[in-house]
Formats: sequence, structure tokens, C-alpha cells
Amino acid sequence: MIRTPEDTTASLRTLVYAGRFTDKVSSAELPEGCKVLTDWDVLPYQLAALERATTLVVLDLFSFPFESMTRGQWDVPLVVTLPAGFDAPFLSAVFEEAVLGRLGFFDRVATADRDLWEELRLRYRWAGSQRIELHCSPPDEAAAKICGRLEEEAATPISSGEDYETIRYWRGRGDALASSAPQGAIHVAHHDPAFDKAVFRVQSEALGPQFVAARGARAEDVPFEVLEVGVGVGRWASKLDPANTRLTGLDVSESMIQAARADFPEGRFDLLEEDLLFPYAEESFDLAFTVSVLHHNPASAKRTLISEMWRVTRPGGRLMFLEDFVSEKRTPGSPVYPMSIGRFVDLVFEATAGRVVLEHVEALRYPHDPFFRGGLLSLSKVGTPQVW
Amino acid sequence: MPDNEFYTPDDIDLLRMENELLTFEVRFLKARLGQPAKITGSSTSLNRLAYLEDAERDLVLLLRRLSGSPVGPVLRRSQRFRTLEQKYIHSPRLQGSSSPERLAYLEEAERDLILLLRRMSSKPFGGVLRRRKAFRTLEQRYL
Amino acid sequence: MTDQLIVAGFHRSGTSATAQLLHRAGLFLGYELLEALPSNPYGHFEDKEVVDLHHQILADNDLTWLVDEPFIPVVDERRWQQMRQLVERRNTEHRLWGFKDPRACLFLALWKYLLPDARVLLVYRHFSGSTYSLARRHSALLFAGTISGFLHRRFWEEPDLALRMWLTYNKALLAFARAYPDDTLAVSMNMIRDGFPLVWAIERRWNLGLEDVPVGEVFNPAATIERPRRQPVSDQRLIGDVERAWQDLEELGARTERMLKERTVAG
Repeated sequence: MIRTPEDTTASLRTLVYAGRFTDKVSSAELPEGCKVLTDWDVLPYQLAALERATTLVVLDLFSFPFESMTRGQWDVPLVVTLPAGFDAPFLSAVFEEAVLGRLGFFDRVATADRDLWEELRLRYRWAGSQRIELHCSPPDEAAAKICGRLEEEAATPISSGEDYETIRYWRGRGDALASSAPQGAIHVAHHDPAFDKAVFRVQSEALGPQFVAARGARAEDVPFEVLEVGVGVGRWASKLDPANTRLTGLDVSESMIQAARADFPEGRFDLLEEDLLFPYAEESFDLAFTVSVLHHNPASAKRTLISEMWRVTRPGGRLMFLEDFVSEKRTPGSPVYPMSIGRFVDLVFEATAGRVVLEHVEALRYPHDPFFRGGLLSLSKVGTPQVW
Repeated sequence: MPDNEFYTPDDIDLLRMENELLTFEVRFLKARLGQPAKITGSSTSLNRLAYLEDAERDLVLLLRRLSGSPVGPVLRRSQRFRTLEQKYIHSPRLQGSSSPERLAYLEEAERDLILLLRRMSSKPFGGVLRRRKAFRTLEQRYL
Repeated sequence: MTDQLIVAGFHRSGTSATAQLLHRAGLFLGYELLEALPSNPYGHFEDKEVVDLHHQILADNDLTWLVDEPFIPVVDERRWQQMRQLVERRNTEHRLWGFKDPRACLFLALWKYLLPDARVLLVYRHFSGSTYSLARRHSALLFAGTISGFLHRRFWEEPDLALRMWLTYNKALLAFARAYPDDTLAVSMNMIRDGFPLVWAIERRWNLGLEDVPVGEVFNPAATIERPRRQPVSDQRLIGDVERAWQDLEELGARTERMLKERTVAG
């Protein structure tokens, strides 16, 4: 199904699977746009209806047929309610493969049990902001609370205004959304959440193997030092194992940095100042990467950021860029500065004086889009270490 | 977007940019596919193999000497040095004549030796180390 | 310790004459040098091993030397080994060596990685002269039927090809010069034509042990020809970048002249 990023608040479509609790939940007062599903409604041949949803809330984890969901259906953001009275080892044993292990940054977990949440959060590397706190609520109240929260987040207005200026825009967006709706803060418009999750999936599938390749063979006690430029609220932190990776993130938005620190306390998150110069020494990182950041910056800022990424990467380390290289012509106020792959390579060559070689290229097509729009470039830095 | 299976692209700029992106990817894939397959047997000459094995031995010797010297504890503060120790001294060495895995390992050893020598040759160590004949020999051979 | 000097400049920019001069001054340029051709009576002075290697890296990346846009190469382990072996042999056998190949413009960063102490003599020429000379050379070869027509036909089929190539190669040189200002010396073909003491300047700068050879001995202005009209361009978007590159190159050349004056005064 082709959907556009702007299938948004006007058509909020939250599906609430109640399963064994259908009788109670059907009488709950839910916001407009929410629909309750019974177990008949989620028979495998009926699941196609999920693809039009913006969110799927699963109140009854035991009876939902996760194993029948297709890839497209998994692109719908999930809110799963953890059943009360079970501990983390039990829930992991029963649900890890089917659902818990597959939940990502754009999914949520609703539970009243704080300790259970903490244990599972660490195990599955969830962000703190992915929790929806319940208060020992019966299913109908839980449904109302969850749907109410989703409605509030969707209603937060954001406009880019007439005059897009990168740093001001992202600081404003961070201030407005970083604590209340972090999953929405990191995109330029208030998107359909399913669009965001689908994009994240495609990008993860491309980046994952490249992170592994960049890590290479190293001694066990030597952590993999990674820098993310434009870290936002830290969504990529959930894809890196803190046991063997040290993530540092830079962003221009103080609010987003604070949200990232709260969500991923193992990471280090620093504010990037307006001069865009990184507060790190040469050759500090094994990998410096950026995702969907440079195409929101004009060419001069791109050049500075690329040059700084090169400077702080060790020789033999990697630089990775995942950006849009296919964009409509820029209109006044647009937050996107179109740049073709050829022009980008020109800029990288200039910013690094050609001191890189190409390791990987991948064109990405997002599920809603007829065009290949995104591109992933992985480069190795060429040089002799200057720092012992 | 019409609600059927077809669409007609009408934005020339988008098409041009997409074409450029896909051409770039194809060129990369051709470059990668053109590289010799690592899983097939190595065609490295015996001379080259002998040279690489010497490089590995020289690297292990050098690391052992550095490790055992008074500066060993200082060097071990560097992650890079610890990685080298782990790889070439503390891990079981990859044996097996000229298997592809052994070849890749030896080539990596050669690279690591060159990087290490380069670093040692530069300030502030280079002047002092170059007084030793053994170091000058290594420089001559690998740099 | 060995020294290396790389002569890099776009095709038809005076690199051959420069290389010949340096060869006479004592710079070892290769074991097998390419032959002179009618279009360049003074010979190419290109090291066959280096040229072949550059062609191989380009071919790996599905390219010929007609590179008209910036590219970041895939360099596999074979090519690194070849480069290292090339370097090792020359370092062992020569105290001072180098090579000249216009294609080196595209790979200077790789050579600099293998030769951290290498210096680069950057030779440049105005785009109108280079592109006109390039087009003349290839039309002559095309009509003579001496080599496969495919590459040469491109100059006719793609009107801005030579200009885009000039831009690509020279932007690569400028990027290198910005990163390694102390290891780069830039001279224009005009400077050499006007009697710039090139070997003397190199010696003042880097003290490589070359013998001074007057430029006039190797450079005959009659062998070069300037474009009789203005530079034709089909895609006007190129103009800004080309003019900026030319200005930056001239600034580098002016810096060379200033450097020389200062060192002359300092005595």
C-alpha cells in the first residue's frame, strides 16, 4: 500500500486489539479514530486491514497472532501492554521471539510495573520514552489512557514557518517535542508514525551490516567508539550494544540531547555549537555516522560537518552517510537542501582532500515511495595515525 | 497518487537524481564484483608468502619487545596497542600454509606492522629508536 | 631516507615538459617510460608501471582516464599491494625518485598515505589551453585511426567533456594543496614559459639535491598552442566552478612566486 508521510492527524487510525478483554474495552470511551478489534478481526486473512493503521495497540498479548504478521504489517507502530503478574524471565521466554525482541524505537510498551520495565528495557535496549505508564489499570482504562496519549501526541502542532534556518528549526522542534513525543521530534513534519517506523526499518537493515563491518575484529576489552552526528533523541543508540560499543552523540538541540541522556544513560551526548565544530580531539572514533541530517543543511554546513567527521575518525575507521539524494527542487522555507549523489561525492572529496576510499554503497527505497531516494555511503579514512 | 498499479513520473529532476544514484550504486557493485573471490584459493607467489610470514614474525617480535620493555605498561594504556597484543601475542596464531584465511591474516599483520613502524618512526620516538640497528633494518625493509 | 616528488597536473598542462626538466635535473621517473608522440614532441616521461596501475584502479571502478566528475575509488587489497611493491622497489634503489602521470591527480591522497614525505609539484594551465590541446590531440588520433575510436569520439559527442575533466582533475589538485600546503608547489605553464626557475625553486623549497637545469633547454613555447577563441561551453552551470578553480590555481601560483621572492631576499 502506498502511503505518504502526511497521512497524519486528520486521519488518526488507532486499532486496539482487545482479545479476551473485548467486552470490557468495547464500552470504554475512546477518542475518535480508534477502533476496537476482537480476536475474529485478527484472523490471518484479516490482518491486511492493519496496514492502514497509524498505531496498533495490543491489550491482550497472549492471543494476538504476531507470527502471522507480514513485513508491511510490522511497519505499523505497536503499543503492547505487558500482562500483569508475570516476571521478566517468563515474558522473555514466551514473547521474545514473537514480539518483544522485535520492538524498536517507534514501538511502545505499556505497563504499571516499573521494575519489570527497567529489566526489559535493559535487555532489549528500549528508550525510556518508549514506556507508557499505567497505574494497575483494568483493560478499558488502559485502552483509554493509551489512546488518549496517542491523540495528544498527534495533535501537537508544528510548522516549519516561512523561513527555514537549520539550527533554529531543530532547536524549536526539540523544545516542542523532545520530551512529549520524541519519536516525532526527529522528522521535519508531523508524520504518519507508520511512515517513520517503515523508514527506520529500511535504514536499520542497511546500516546494521555496515556497523558490523566497521567494527571488524578487535580485542574484547577494546570498545568500539562511535560518534553519531545529529543524534536527536538517540534512536540509533537502541541498535548498538552498549556492552561493546561506546556511543557519543552530537546535536544542536539541547532538549533532544537531554531526552537522549534520559533514554540512554550509557551513552554520552553533547551539544553541537553553532560553528558546527566538534568538541573532540583528532582520531577519537572508530566510526562517525549520520542519518538524515546532512540533507537538512546547506552546502557550507555539510562541508564543515563532513570535514569534522573526517578529522575525529581514526585512520582505517569509517565514515557513514545515510541521506536523501533524490529530492524535489527546493522551495522557500523548505527544510531540505537537495543534493545529488554526484554533488555529494564532490563535497566529500573536497572536505576530506580525497583521503577516503569507498567501502559500500546502497540505494534505498522506502515503502511509501516509487523512487529510490536514500543512499548509504560507507567510506574508510586513509592515513597514518597521528595520535598514539 | 492514482489508486491503481501505475504512475507516470513527470519530475525530470527527480528522475535525473535517481538515475545518478542508481548508476553510482551499480558502478560500486561492479567494482566489488570484480575483486578476486576470497573463498577461492590464493594465487600469492611463494616469495610474497615468505615476505608476509617474515612480516608477521617481525611484528610479533617487536610487540613482545615493546611489551616487555619499561614502556610496556605505558603503551598498554593505548587501546590500539592492546588490540595488537591481543591479536598477535595472546590469541592462538592462525596456522595453515596458504589458506585464504591465513593469507588475509598475514596481510593484516603486514599492514599493522607498517602502521606501527610509521608511528614509531615519527616524533618523538623516531630519533632515539633509529640509533638501534634492528629498528633501522625494520624501517628499511617495511617502510 | 628517500625523497619522492610527484609531478601532477591535468593532461596537456605542461607536465611532460616539466617532467623532462626534472629528469635532466636528476629525478628518477621510472624504469620504463612511455614514448613521445607526434602531439608531444618532447615525450611523455610517464612511468609505465604507474600509468598501468592508475588505469587498473580506474578500470576497477568502471572508469577510463576520461574522469569528468569527482569520484571516491574502491581500492582493493591487490592494488594496495601493487602500490606498496612499486614504492618498495624504488625506495630501495633510489634516494630521490618520483613519477609523472596526469591521472595521479585523482589518487594523490593514496600516494601520500604510502609516501608520507612525498612532495607534489602541481602544474596547471588555463582551461581553454588544456581543453583545446586535448581536443586537437584526440581528433588527430581519431582521424589517424591509430587507436580505438571510442574514447576519442567522446570528445566530439560530449561537448563539455574536456572542460569537466579539467575541473575534476584540478579540483582534486586544489584539495590536496589545501590539505598539504607545505608539501605542494604550484606552477603554471605560463610561469615556466616565461622562464620561472623551476628547479631552483624546488631546491629552495625542499632541498632535494636536484641539479639546476634552465627551463629553456626543454621548453619550446612553439610546441604549445593556445585556443584562438573563447572557451565554448554547453552547460553554463559549469562556468562558476571552473572560474573559481582557475582563480584558486592562480592564487597557488602567486604564492609560489611570493615564496620565491621571500627566499631570494632572505638569501
